[in-house]
This record gives sequence, structure tokens and C-alpha cells, in this order.
Amino acid sequence: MGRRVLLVEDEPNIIEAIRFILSRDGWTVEARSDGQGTLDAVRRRRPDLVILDVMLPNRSGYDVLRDLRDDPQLSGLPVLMLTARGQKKDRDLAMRLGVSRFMTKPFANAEMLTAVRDLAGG
Amino acid sequence: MSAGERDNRGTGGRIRARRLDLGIRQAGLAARLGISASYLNLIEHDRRRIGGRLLNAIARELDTEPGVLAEGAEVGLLDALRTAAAMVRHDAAPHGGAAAGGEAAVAATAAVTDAAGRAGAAGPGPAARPASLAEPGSPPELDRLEAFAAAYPGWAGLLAAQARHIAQRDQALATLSDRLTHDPFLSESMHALLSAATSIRATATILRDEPELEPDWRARFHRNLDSDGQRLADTARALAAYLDGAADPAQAAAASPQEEVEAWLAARNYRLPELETELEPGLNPDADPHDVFDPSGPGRAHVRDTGADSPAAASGDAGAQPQQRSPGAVPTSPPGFAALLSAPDAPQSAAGRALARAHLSRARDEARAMPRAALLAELAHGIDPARIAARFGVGPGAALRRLGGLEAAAAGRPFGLILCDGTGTTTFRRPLDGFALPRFGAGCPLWPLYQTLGRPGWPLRAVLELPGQPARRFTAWAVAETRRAGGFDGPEIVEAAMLLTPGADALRTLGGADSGPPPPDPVGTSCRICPRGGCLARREPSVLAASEEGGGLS
Repeated sequence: MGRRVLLVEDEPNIIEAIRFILSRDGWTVEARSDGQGTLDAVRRRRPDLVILDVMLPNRSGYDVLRDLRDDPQLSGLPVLMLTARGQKKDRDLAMRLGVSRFMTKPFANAEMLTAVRDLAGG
Repeated sequence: MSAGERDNRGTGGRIRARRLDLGIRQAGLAARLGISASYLNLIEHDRRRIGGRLLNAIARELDTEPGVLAEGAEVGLLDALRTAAAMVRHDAAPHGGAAAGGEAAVAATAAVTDAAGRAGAAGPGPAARPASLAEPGSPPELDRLEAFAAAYPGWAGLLAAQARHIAQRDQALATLSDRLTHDPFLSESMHALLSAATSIRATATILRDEPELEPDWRARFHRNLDSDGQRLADTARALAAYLDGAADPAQAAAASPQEEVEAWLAARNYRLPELETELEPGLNPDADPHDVFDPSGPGRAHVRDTGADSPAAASGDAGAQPQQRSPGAVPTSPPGFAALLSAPDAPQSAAGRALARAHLSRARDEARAMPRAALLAELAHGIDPARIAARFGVGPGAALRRLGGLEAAAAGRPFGLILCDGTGTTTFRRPLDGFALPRFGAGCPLWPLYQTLGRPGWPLRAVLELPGQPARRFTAWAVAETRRAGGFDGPEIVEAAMLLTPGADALRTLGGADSGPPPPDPVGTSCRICPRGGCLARREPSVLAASEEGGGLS
């Protein structure tokens, strides 16, 4: 069974680039562009990793992260936060909420891929 | 010394100035005081400190108060110097040395140290310490502050002025930092820039690292690069224009395209006579006032929209509620917006102009549907948006917006107007004296504007009472309306409007002669500045009542 990533990102071209990079590495990527409903999507799909943007329509990445950590079944799921909000307070908030890795945009493809492999044991 | 000019002199300097102002010779004053002229000369040049009886006697002879001579404006100077010293200590403490703005202050206080030493050398006191021995960061000698200020009032004044400038720049920096953090336009622009840059970088790396990339993927990534490059350029241009505008004091207040449009309309007193027509109104005298909120109600004829600028035409919004007018009304050619938008005071940014165009388009349609003369004639019977909507065959939201565009002189009373979308985000504000509309963020959750969002098509009217002494009352009408954008099964778009006017008397006409206005609803303007206690709708504590019971969250 292939390794699965749920990508929550609202920029279509970024989705396309990440999907390409990860698929070349053997990952199956499912993308969604809305924070709302992400928790249900994770429960249904059970991905090995979630890549999460912060500024999302309807429900922020922080809220989604909080939802995941509040769910006993999902609290240990690796979450890579990939965001344009790179201030210390943003990073601190993400860490407090239990993010597994925090990366700021723009990112290097190799760095992102390494993080995904590390987090999901790939 | 003129009023407002800083008095940098010491006590002696003020004695001398006062004596000269009164035209008294030095020898004459010395004689009256029973001291020698040379001693008075030393006093006047701050070479001798005086106090007690002699100061009282001099003040008496010069017809002034001893405190004025002893302190005068020097009190302010000394306070400024103490503040400068405190700034140095504040800057030095947490960092263990001079911080950015503190370096100048440290150097300045080193000068104080040196100057005070020299002042001491000039009179009684410890020996002077050469400037080269003043250690940066060493604490200023506050106990010798007065001697320094008295001996070198010019330098002391300069130091105080520099400290003030540093404080002002720190404040400006904090303000700009706050603006960078909270300005919605800047925030969105930065996000757009970083998103475009992210996509470009990732895509470019893929193209570099994948020389054997399949043609369809390659073409797709090239398209993405092109679109992201265009987006990056547009955003950068808009940001540059915005920052240029921010540097211009005249535009500094406009923090977003929306504010740009609002400032433009406010400068015109919200009048757009270019859009008014002399059409016979689409009167519908038989309309039942109770059916006005049914957009598909009987007796309404849809008017063909000939304007390419209409919101429906512009957005391809097939489901948008059309303008309604009785048969026989002949629409004139839509006035061009070019003249309005080419005026020097029109919005300059691309986003501001787009918003202005949308505003003009709708205002033109509503001016056609509710001609000004007929509308003012209706208003003569009282403010009843429901009756006006029925009379002109328009929806209640259009009636509120049209009334909200009238100037007080014509309407007989001032109006305020606020519009928001389905998220509660403010999309337009026409301020009203006494009813503050927040610049950023939402207003009071108890406003009818937000109450109607949950029940589109269900109009509300209320008397609102704002806290304060005395409490201020306003009459408000609000309604949310929906339209379906993007065709038959497109998303439903919600917009709410709230019209405001001062006082509670505007509702008197609705319930008959004997019924007074309804009891007022206690509301605020925005939680952050609302002192009202025990509010169940409060979303954040008030800065005005941090220690009061009412300021906290319920």
C-alpha cells in the first residue's frame, strides 16, 4: 500500500508542484483547498502525513491542527505545516498546538521532500 | 522669549531675561538687593547657585514668583533629560549593552557625563572627567543633571530634543510594525507575494531537475510559471502603489482599496449627480407594502439591463436580482464612468478603481430605479424603506443603499450606511456622527446588520442605544439579501445592509400617531472599545474597562 499524504493548500499551482514532487517519490497525494472538513477527510483517508497551510478558507490551519490533536485517534499523526506566515509567534503557536514540523514558504523542494520522508518514516 | 519656545536657560538666565524685559539695569537691581553688581552678574550667568531669601528677594523685585525663576521651563527640560536617562537604562538593561536606538542616547549621556563634569569644574563640585574617559553605557549622573542643564542649556536642550526624536521614531516604528501586522491589504499582499514566489520556486526547481519531463507536464508547469509570474508582478505593482500612497500624507489614511473608495465618496459628500437620471420612475402605486420583500412578487416587470457595467453583466451573474421597473420606463444610456474615475480625487489603485466601478454601477442602477426627485418626495412622508421599496419596485436592500447615499441637506437628516457580506466582513461604510464604524474588524454582534445575516430576506428595524453619557440613540433598518451567482446552481451570495439615522423618532411614523418608538436595544460599536458590561455577545475584553466587571468576557 502506497504512502499517502493529505495536502491542505488553497493555491492550485502550489498543489500541483507538491503533488508532482511527492508523486515522483512514490507518494499518493490527495489535496483539498478548504480547512473546513479536513478533520473528516483525515478520518476517512487515514493519510500517513498531513501537509497543512495556515491561511485557508473557512477554517485556518491552526484550527485544523487543533482538531487533529484533540482527536485521540489522530493526535499522533505527523503534520507538516507549510506556511507563508513565518514569524516567530506563528511558529510558536504551531509548536504549542503540536505541529510536527514547521516550514515557511517559499520552500526548497528537496527540503520539503526530506521533511515528508522524515516525518512519515519514508 | 515667545510662547511655546523652549526655555533652556538656568535660573540665572531667567533672572537676567526678566530684568532686561523690565528695563532694569544690573547695577540698579543689585543695589536694591543689597549685593554687588559683580555677584549678580555671576548669578545671572549661572556661576552661582542661589535660593532661599535671595531668590525670593529677586523675584519680588522682578515682580514674579520665585518658582518661575528657579524652575520655569527648566522643569520640562530636566524631565526630558531624566526621560533620556531612563531610555538609556531601559535599553541597556535587557540587552546588557546599547540597543539600536539606545546607542545615540548612550553617546548623548556620555556627553552629559562629560559636560556635567565640566560644569562641576566651573563651580564647586568634583573635578571634570575628560570625554575620552566616559565609558559608553555608564549610568548618567542624575544628581548633577541640574548643574549640566544650567551650565549648558543649549546642549541640554539638544540632548532632550534628540531623546524626544528617538522616542517619536520608536513610536512611529511601533506604529508601522503594528500596521504591517494588522493592515489587511499589506497582509493579503504579502501572502499573495509569498504564495506566488513559492509556486514559482517549486515549479522552476522541478523544471531544472527534470530534464526528461513529459511534455504535458512541462507545458503545464510553464503555464503555471506564466500565471504566477503575472500574479507576482500585479501584486508587486499594487503593493508599490500602495506603499507610495502610504508615504503620501494625503493618502496615508486609506489603508485598503475599500477605504480609498470610501474616502473618495466622502469627499464628494456621497453625491453622484452624474448618475442621476430624469426618468419617470417605475412607480408601482398599487403595490402592497407587505410584499416588497418577495423578490418574485407580482406586479414587477424586469427591465432589460443595457449597461455593460451592471454587476450582473460584469460578473456573468445570471441569477442576480434584476432591476425592476414598470413597463414604459425607458432607460437612458448608462453614463460613462470614465469622467468620474478620471477625476484627480478618484481612487488610484487598480483594486480601488475596480471597487469604485462596481459601486458606481450599482449606484447607477439604483438611481434609475429610484429617481432622486421622486425619492425625496417619498421621504417627505417619513423614513419607511419598506414603503419606498414597494413604491419603486425594488428590494429593501436597494432602498437602504439608495437612502444611505443621500446627503443630509436633501434628505432632511443625516444617514449612515454599512454593508457587509455573508462572513460579516464590512464592504462599505458611510460613517455617521456619533456612531463609530470600526475601521478594521467587525462591529457589535448585536447590530441588526449581523442579526439579519442568519435570516436573509427578513428585515429588522430597531432603535439602538450606544453607551455613554448621555446615551446616544439611533434608528436602524437592516436586511440581508441573497443572490445566486454563477448561474442556476451557483453559490448563494449573501449581503446585508444597515441604514442608520440619529434619534429614535424616525420609527414613530410606523406604528401610528400614538405609539412611541420601541424600547432601545443596548449595543456598542466594537467590543474592543465598548465599555458595556455583562454583554453576552462580547467576543473580546474592552480596553476601556479592563478592570471593570463589564470589560471582561461573559
